[in-house]
Amino acid sequence: MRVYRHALVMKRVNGTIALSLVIAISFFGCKEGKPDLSNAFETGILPKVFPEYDGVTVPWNIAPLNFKYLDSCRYLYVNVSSSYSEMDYFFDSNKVKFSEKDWTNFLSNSREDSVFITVYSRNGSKWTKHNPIRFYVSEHRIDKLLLYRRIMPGYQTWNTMGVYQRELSSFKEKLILDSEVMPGTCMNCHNFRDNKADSWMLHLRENYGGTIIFSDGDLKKIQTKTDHTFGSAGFPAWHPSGNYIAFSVNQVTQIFHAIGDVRAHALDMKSDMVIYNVDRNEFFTSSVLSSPNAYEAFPCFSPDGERLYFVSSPSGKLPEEQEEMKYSLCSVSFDEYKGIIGNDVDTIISARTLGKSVSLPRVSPDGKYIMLTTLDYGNFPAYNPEADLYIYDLTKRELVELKAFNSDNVESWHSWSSNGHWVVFSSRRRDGLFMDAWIGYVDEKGAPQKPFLLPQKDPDFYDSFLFSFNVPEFLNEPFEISPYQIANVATKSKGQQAEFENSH
Amino acid sequence: MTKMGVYFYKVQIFVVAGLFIITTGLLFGIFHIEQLVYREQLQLFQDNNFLEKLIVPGGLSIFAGEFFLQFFKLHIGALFVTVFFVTIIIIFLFRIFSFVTNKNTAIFFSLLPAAGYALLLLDRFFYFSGLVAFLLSIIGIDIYIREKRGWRKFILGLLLVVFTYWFAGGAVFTFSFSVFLLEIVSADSRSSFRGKLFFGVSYIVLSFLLPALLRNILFYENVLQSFVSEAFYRIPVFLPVELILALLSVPLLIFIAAFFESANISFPQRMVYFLSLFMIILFGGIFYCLNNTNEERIRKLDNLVFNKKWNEIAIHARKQGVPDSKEASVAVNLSLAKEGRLTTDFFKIQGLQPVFVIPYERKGMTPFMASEPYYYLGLNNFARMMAMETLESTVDAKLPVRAVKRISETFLISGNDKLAQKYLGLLSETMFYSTWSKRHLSQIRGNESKTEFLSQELNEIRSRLPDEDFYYNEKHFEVALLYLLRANKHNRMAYEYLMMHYLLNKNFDSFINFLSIYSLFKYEETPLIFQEAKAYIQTLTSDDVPLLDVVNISKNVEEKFNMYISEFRKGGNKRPERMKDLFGDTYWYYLHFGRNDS
Repeated sequence: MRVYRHALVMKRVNGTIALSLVIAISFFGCKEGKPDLSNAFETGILPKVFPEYDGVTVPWNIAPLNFKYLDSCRYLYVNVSSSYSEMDYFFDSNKVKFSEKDWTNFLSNSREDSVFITVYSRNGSKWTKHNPIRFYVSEHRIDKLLLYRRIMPGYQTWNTMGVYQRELSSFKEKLILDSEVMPGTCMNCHNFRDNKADSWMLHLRENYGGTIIFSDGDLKKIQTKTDHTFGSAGFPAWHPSGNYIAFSVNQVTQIFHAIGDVRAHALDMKSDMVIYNVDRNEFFTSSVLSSPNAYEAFPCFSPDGERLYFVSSPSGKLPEEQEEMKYSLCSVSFDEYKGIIGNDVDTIISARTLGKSVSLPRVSPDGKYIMLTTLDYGNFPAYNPEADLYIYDLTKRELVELKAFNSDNVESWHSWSSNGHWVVFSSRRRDGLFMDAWIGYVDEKGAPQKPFLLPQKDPDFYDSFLFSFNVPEFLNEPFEISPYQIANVATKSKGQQAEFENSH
Repeated sequence: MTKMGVYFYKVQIFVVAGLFIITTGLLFGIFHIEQLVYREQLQLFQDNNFLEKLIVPGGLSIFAGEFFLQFFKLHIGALFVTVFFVTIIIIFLFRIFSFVTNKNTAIFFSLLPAAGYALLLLDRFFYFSGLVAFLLSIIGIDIYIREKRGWRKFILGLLLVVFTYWFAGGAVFTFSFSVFLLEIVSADSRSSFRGKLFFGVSYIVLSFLLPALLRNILFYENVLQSFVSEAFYRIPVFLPVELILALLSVPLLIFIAAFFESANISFPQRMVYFLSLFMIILFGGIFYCLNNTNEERIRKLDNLVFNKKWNEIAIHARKQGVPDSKEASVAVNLSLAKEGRLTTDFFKIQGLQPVFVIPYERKGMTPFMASEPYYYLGLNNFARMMAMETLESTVDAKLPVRAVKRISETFLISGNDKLAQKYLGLLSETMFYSTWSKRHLSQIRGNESKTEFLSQELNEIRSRLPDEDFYYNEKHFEVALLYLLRANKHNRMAYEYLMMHYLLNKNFDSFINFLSIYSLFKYEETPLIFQEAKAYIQTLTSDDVPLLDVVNISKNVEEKFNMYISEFRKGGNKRPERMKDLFGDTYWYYLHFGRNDS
């Protein structure tokens, strides 16, 4: 309640009821008889709209791609057509809001087809026709849900925030946990095993700090700072078996720039990796994951669980040598049955060869590709405008830029859908400050298509929304634990202290 | 009662109520007005969120509270709105207590909760919307007691519980406990005691049940907030005793009044009159004791900085000194630097600390004051950083209007129209900032060139931006000042701060070195502290220092310095008190004895 934006109030109000209320009081586009458009003036160009959808590829189960017409107009007439279906809408504003039911039917009937949205606008008495916006409807469905944290793009501190799950075929959003339920608690580092809600974790800091883990139907809280680690564990990655979670332990600092639009940089002053055995409540590591001469971070297991990917850089004097800190993509073998980390580090992408730093490796569900972010230096891409997404073909051993996904601002924090055809990533491309969730299609060969901004019910949403979408992750089944359950576990005890096992 | 008696009774009520209201006005107007004005800057009113507010408990009160809080931007508005609400509360309380007890004592009982709520406003964490919520609950009681018939009254009572909870949050307990007691003590012979008890208990049960139920089906909140709502207190995990007492004061007083009434305890009219007057005096005394005078002085400076009343700040500081607060010293130093008087007046102001910038501190609006010097100096990124940190530092996560305006300004200065629009959009919904923001919005949308539509102030700040990058480090503020001067050699504020920094750190080499650009700043008079510094430096060296030639020492300074030397030689170094009396406002005293802070 302490944040004013429409969607933020929505977050707290249990889906259906609030949505019904808002639906009841909102204006909706209505299907009307077609006006006489035969004399419409043809501009010969695309209409200026936000968000832009021309040329994007969308899943057939995505929510309506509502948009607003950016030039001045009094009325809009919109024709949406594909080879199999057609619908017309009339709006007496500059906002195009489709009926969810019509849209779902339409898109479902238009799989593997191009859809054309022809926008007619009217200011005075004459209609103007624009070239149609064209997008392609993929036959591949997208995961049901998107999970993210919403937080203001601050500098050092934070205030209100929350973790939410959003239905991707509609605009329904459900609260996982927020500052209303747990005031003064910072929450992030959410992570799921294989895009499913049966094994997940959420890291809490400050008030009632600790790590909440849900595994085998059991919700527990643990303390991850041990005598053998210099901080709490973060940036998690579940092992596909659900028995382990790999973490990095980081000591992060930030620097703030006096000029330019890049307001800050985050630096790892220290970084090691540890693996948590969920059943035994025990951490272990090896010299290859926590070398005193190197910084290791951002773990990720292969889908078969046999390799652990991470990024690593030789240690240096910081912040003076920050621009020399370039991370390579590495991997080690992992024996899940014995819980043994291999000794041979395979450098997959050498930062020295690449001339850049790599970060946030994410292996595709089929194990063929690793998507990662490259940046000039460091391993926290969130502030680096040059941060771009690349894909590494593990078979061809080839790194390719995902040009269709990239912009001249930050792209990072990407996550694969469970079928490996959709990727959600964060980007500051809209204004350089707010991180938005963008969704893009990747085909079997790892080739990307133009991405689209996470659709919102109100096309004005992004104009006034003051929060970033942080660490978006696909989820294929709903998160059923209520915020109160998490809060109960978080607040009733300090949590079990995780042990550190030295024999590895 | 005779006709004359009725007349006197009415006069008495008007006198007592009028005195209380005037006292309230005077107390807030004299002792707390700057803190009231400061409230406006702590949260932003956005009228487009009316429906969003309505879908949460206490929402209507929050909306109305924010709406009325807008008027707090003006001193007169703050005072009028506060007194107006206190007056309305008294009127409705009087109507309720007149129902319970004889009208003779009703006014006395009415003043107590009103005084309690007025005192709650002294707590900066208590929301003005709490006053609105309380008013709504007593209006509810007033509606309820005027309904006479049985089941209809019961249904009305239940509906009022629901509405009061939804519109006024925790004030529902004021309503339900009050009507419970009113039912119990009512002399209505048409209903049985058991029936009345059933009514009353039902209201209380419903007022507890409702939040407990709704928090599981309609919204997610921590337990306390579910019951109390966010209309009352900024800290969502804390419920102060004073607030509990205020919420329960009406039912408590109803109980006492009814007890007196049923026990036939009555007080002479004159006694009630004097008791009421005593209560008003007591209220004044408590108000005075609870009011934080130091905070009031700090907020005055804060408000003056926000309104850019630089000269007024300097005059105020010279007259009254500077309260012991880093924020206050930053404000006064900024005003002096803005006016080009820092290097003249710094030692003349009592209590002024050598604090030019303050580090980020997660404490309410403190980061905002930290942003002020950066902003005016031209350190736009750091000013924005502090303004954005202010959004994150307010304990209730409400958007402070000052910070939102500052963020818009910094984006306008850096030419980031997209982001400027976003924050200007928030301000365009307000009453007092909409003209300013809408003008900028229309100019941005009309693609006018920045220099055309930016105010002179924003254009000036733009001209001061550094052109080389460096990192934020408030411990080495002088580094930022050097970058600023390198980018714009006419940045007099930066020069004032830098020279003062060198002098305070007794870094004479750098001071002398930067006298090389002194002439660029076209000082009308040579800064007094420069003169005092030169007089002192000349005693340290027999060499000719040509750069010092630009500083002309006036006859007064020369004579005073000779006196200082003479006193010092006469053992002044062992008598700092005497030296302070004679030379406490000079640079020489600072050099030998440190800052004169007393």
